[in-house]
Amino acid sequence: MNDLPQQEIINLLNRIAQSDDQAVKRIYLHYHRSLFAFIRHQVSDEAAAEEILHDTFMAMCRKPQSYDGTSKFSTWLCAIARHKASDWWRKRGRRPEEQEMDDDVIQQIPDENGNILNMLEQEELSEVLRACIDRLPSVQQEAMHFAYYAEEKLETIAQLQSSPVNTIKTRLFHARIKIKECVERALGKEVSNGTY
Amino acid sequence: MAHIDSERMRFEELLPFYINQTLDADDTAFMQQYLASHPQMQTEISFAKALQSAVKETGANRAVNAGLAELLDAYHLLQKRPSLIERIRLSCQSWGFTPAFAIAASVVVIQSILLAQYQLSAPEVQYRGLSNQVQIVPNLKITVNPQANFTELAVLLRQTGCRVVAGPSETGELWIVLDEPDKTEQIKRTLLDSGLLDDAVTTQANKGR
Repeated sequence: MNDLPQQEIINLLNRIAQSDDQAVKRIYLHYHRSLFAFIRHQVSDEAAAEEILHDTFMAMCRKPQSYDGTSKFSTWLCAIARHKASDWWRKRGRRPEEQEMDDDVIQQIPDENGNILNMLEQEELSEVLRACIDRLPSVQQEAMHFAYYAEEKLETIAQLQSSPVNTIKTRLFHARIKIKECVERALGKEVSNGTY
Repeated sequence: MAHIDSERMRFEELLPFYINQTLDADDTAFMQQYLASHPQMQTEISFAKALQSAVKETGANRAVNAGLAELLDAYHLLQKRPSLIERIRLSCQSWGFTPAFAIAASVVVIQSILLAQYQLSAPEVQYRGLSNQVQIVPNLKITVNPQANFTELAVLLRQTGCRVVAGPSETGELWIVLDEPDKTEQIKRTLLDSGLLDDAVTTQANKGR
């Protein structure tokens, strides 16, 4: 997430505290897409993601002074959003948990020579990939968001997820394997249905 | 079951960071060398790029101003919302109270509640004390003639305002309280003159009157 300069953030938050619509607008327009993507990788429900996004920005408007500047502003927003997403999961019921990586899964790495990309058009692949990402446990989705969307370094993701570097590596690897399996299942189903 | 060597594992784990270009020089060099010696792994690179593309598409279709109007509406409502103290003051006004009266009323209500709680929770105390029953002091002690007719005696006592409060004793004595204690001597004479009594004596307690 590409942050605004720190001094500008502080200035905007001060203006928000003094009821300045333009400051709210400036921050919202800069962050809403990336924050929505972050939330969308926490909850699978599009409408819920919209609601959590709104609530997150409202939390910022209510207490702009609670940002102390010790972290990146986007990290602060993500922390609020993550908290609200957790509330959403709590109300909704059980949250999918991350499974431990085991040897059986490691052995399921697809054959080097196999290429499922050749079997699907790009647009179709994206659609299937997005559906498969939605099925991942939220902690894996979040790691993928930080790696592929926010393009953060390994060490930064470890810090953001409060996990060791090796855990992040495994988490991302595990997520990729699961997505491949999911795409292959979807593809097989399509093929068996005679779509392709 | 394919054998996963350590280099392949390292390649798989570093792949997301090779794609997002955040690897340091050493790891980048390793990835490039591995790809050069394993050209079939280009499919992994392609898959990871497709994955990144799918992840980056999340929310990409949101309109530039999506949700902004709702946020600003809620922000305006937030600004109009009075502070807690202001809300208490407004609430008092709506009830027709001045703040001072409201505070005083609150204190009275709180004290009443505390007092009621104390009364309800206090153990019941039983005190030892004097009986509240009033002791009756007779005015006369009379001795009934054994030959007297009971009906005549009852009529006499009734007419003279006498009430039997104790007795009869073993010797036929009755203790009498008079409705008009000021006329004790007069009543005593009337009783003795009737011939129905052997004796009539003013009691010690009545002598002090």
